[in-house]
Amino acid sequence: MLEGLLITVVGMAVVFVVLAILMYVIMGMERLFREKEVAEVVSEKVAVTEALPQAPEAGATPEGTVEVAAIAVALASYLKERGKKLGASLSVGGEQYHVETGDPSIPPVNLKVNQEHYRAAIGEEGLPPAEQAGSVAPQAKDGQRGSPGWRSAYPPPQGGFWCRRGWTGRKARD
Amino acid sequence: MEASGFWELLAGFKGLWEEPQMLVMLAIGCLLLFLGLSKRFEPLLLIPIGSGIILANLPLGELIKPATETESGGFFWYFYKYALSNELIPLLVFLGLGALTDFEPMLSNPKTILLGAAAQLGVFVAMLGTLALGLTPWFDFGLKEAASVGIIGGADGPTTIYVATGMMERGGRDILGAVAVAAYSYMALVPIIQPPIIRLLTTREERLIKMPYAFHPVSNRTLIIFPIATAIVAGILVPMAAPLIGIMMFGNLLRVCGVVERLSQTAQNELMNIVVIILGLSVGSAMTAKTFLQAETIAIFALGLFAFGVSTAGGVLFGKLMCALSGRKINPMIGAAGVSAVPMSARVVQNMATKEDPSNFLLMHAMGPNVAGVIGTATAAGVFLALIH
Repeated sequence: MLEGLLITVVGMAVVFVVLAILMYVIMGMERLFREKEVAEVVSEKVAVTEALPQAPEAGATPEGTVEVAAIAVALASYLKERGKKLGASLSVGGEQYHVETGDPSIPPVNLKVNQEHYRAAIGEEGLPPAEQAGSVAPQAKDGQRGSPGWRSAYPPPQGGFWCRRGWTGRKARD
Repeated sequence: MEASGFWELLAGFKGLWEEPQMLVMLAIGCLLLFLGLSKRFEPLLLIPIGSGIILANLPLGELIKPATETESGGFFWYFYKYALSNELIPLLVFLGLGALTDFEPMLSNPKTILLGAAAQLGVFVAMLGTLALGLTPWFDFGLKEAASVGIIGGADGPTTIYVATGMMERGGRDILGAVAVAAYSYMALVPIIQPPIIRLLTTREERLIKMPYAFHPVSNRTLIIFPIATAIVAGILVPMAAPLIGIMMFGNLLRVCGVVERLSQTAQNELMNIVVIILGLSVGSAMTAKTFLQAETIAIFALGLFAFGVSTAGGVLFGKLMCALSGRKINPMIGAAGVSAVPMSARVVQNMATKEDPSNFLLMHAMGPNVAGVIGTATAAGVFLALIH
């Protein structure tokens, strides 16, 4: 019994120590790498902006390709969530663009628009959580909860999205 | 007639007549099938386990008979001997678990990791309870059996099997079937067991606390380095837990590195599905009438429930402490998710939160302690295996 008590005290202490060390390792990594990755994305943007006057491509203006790159990332991300892929050809304002996108779920996303290279990161999405949460309650009160299409709510970062019936769960998209 | 072997056709009835306890086991198997099929309680586990119990308790025991020099063994015997009663199956399950687990909620809010540690309280308290029961003249529980029973409190089936087999190798008694079934049963019954404990230990005001979810995308480097760092840290601090945590982190690395999608998909789907089938059937086949229908088994189930309850209480009470220290910014209910039943416990917390206030979303906050609990239980297992010889 005494041995059992000793194992209990030592065991709980070891579990707390191991998980506390992991907690600090994670905090340290996040501090280190998040700043680095933000800095990298910023420097990429600066590099693109500086390169614009020097690298005009035939068929489309560089400004145009920046916008098309943004559209392509958004579309690729949207389609990826639905299990689809963005095709190689994208038409914007009657202009055809050749687009190649990397995996949009792993930022920064590498992409090419008419052979122009870009790296993009998708940051904040949707409304702040407090507003999202606030918008759910009235929907539920209005009788939406009882409708057959109603699902439990998830904010967009958790995979939910908005439709006429209210915030829908991830399952609704499957 | 006897010479013609006619009576062999009636051997089934003869077997039942000689061992009527089989009927009880068949009823238990049918009950687990009912829970899985009709109530949808962890059907992926309860259907193979229930089927394993039924098939292992048929007269003559053809499926579980051990191999002899002249005769090959039963189908389940090979699973039990070469997959379950060593580290193979638990570690393969951990590989799949690692590939399936998204550690991002924990990485984006690392403070909640400590709740996963607090929820291991039941593991150790139940071990003490089992030891105390072993002091009575009715039960023969030593430290090794107490560790196998206590780990049920972690609500982690593979870890329970890992510890029980480890203790058997150290000379402990074979209680693998009982502890494995207790662990998986309680995992399936999380939605029934946890809410009353949470309600008992929290006030309505505490349950109404909202935790705004600000989405902080975790850097890609952190996602990739985390499994490597965890395997190294756990491997150095608790070497006996290194196989469990190391393999789980390998599975997670496959998931997050983004360059071995095929391996990640295989670990998450095909491999995991095959292992779950073998695991379920093997666990079920370990529950024969002779080994299962004893007062000891009932005690193990009771102690397992006690362990699970204390673990939930430990997480909630630590959540209350964090709530008080943070100025009521943490909902103490998320502490209950510190047990390793992923994602069931987190869902229970979410359901309870929305029941009190439909606009309260705690799921992602609860997922942090939930996945931390898996590491916590594996660490507790490592402590048992290191200290008990």
